[in-house]
Amino acid sequence: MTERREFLKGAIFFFPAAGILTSLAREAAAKDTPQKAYNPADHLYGMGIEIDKCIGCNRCAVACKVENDVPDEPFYFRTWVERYTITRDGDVAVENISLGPRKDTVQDAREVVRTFFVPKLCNHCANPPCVQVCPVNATFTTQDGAVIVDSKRCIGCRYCIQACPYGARYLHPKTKTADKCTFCYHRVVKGLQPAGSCASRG
Amino acid sequence: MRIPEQIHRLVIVLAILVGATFLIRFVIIPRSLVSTDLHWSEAAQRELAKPVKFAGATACQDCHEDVAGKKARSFHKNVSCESCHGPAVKHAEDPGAVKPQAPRDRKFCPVCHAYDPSRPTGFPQINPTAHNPLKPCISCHNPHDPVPPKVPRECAACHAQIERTKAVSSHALIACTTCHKAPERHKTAPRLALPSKPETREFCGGCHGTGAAAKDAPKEAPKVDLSTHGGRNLCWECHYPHLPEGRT
Repeated sequence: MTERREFLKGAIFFFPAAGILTSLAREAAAKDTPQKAYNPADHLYGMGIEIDKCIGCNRCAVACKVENDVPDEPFYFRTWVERYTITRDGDVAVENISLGPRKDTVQDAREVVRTFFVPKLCNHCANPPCVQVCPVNATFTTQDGAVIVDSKRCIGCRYCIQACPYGARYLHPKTKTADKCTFCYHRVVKGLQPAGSCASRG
Repeated sequence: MRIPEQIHRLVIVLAILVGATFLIRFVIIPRSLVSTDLHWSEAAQRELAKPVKFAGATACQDCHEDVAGKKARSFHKNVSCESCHGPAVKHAEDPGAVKPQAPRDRKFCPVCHAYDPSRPTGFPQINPTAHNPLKPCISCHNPHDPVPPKVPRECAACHAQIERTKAVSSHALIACTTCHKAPERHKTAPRLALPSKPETREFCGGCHGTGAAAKDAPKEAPKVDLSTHGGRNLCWECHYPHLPEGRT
C-alpha cells in the first residue's frame, strides 16, 4: 500500500520534471544547430545596379576573375564594364573598358552630350533564351533564381552563347564548355555578397 | 466472328514491344540519366562546393575592429576591405601565415580617382600627373578615412572643368554663388541636394538688361533690350553662361 503511494508521489514530480528536462535538452540541441539546411525554394535572388554611381574602376571584373577562375586573357568575362559615349550628332559609342589599358575616347568634351559607365553581367533572366536553346538541358534556372551551367552536361555547342542578347556567355578555353556569371551562387547561399562587391555601393 | 490466329500473334508481339519499351524507359535506364531535376540539383551542389576566396567585410571586422569602425564613418564606408586588400579568405583562416596586399604606391588610388569624363560628377577625381607628382597618396590621405588634408576649393573641387572654362571667360570674376545657391548638404550628398540654377530671362537681365533692374551692374557688361532681344528664348539656350563668348 505504502509502496504504491510512494510510487504515485514520485510520479507526480517525475513526469513534469522529465518534461521540462526534455524540452530544455531540445532547446540546447536547437542552439547547437541553429542553421537549417539551405532550401533554395525559400529564396529568390535579385541584383540592383545604379548606373549613375558606377565609377568604372573595373574592380568587379578583377574580383570576379579571381573568385571564379575566369581565364586571365582580357576577353573572357563573367562581368565587365562598358563606357557609353553619346555625342551631339546622336552617335552612341560603346567601349569595353575591362579589355585593358583604356584609351581616352572622349576627345572633344563639347561635342559629347553624355558619357557614363555601365557594369554588365548576366541578367539571370526570368525567361532565359540561353536555357531555351540548350539541346542537352545543361543550362537551367535554379529554384532561387540563378541561371547556371552544368559543365559536366554541356557539350560546348555554343548555341547559348549565340542566344544570349547581352553577350554574357563565353566558351571556357580549358573545359570547352559554356561559362557565365553564376550570381556567385557559392557565396550568396552562404549569406555572403557576390565577389565583385562594388567599390561605390550605397 | 472468330479472331484470326495471326492477329492474336500480332497483338502478343505488340504487347511485348510496348512492355519492353516501358521496362527499358522506366526500370533499366537509371533515373539519374533522364531526370533533369536530379542532374540540375547535382550541378547546383557542385556549384555550391566551389571555394570562396573573398571573405567579405564582416570577416575583417572580427579582428580589425578599430580600422573597420573608422572606415564605417568615412567617405570609404561602402568600399569593401577586399576592394583594395585583395581576396583574404586565406588570411582570415590563418592570419599569421598569409598577409593580404596593401597597395601603397601611386598606381592604385587612381584606379578610382584619376579624372575620367565618364565618371559621375561629384566623384572626387585628380589628374595623377599634375597632383603632387611622385608623392605616395597615403602620405596625405588615410585610405581608411580619406579626408582631404585641406578643405578643397569650394565648387572647383568637383566642377574643375567648369571652373577652368569660366576662368578664361568674361564671367571669370563672378562667383559661382552669384547664380547658384548650393545647400550645405550638396558637398556630402551631391545628387540628393542639388544647387539652384537661374530660371528666368530677368536673372541675366539683372546685369545685361537696359532697364532699371541693371542700373547697379558694371558698365562693361553688354546690354540688350530684353523685350526685343531673343524673342521668348531663355538666355542660356543661345549663350553658355560659363563661357558667354564661346557659343552663339
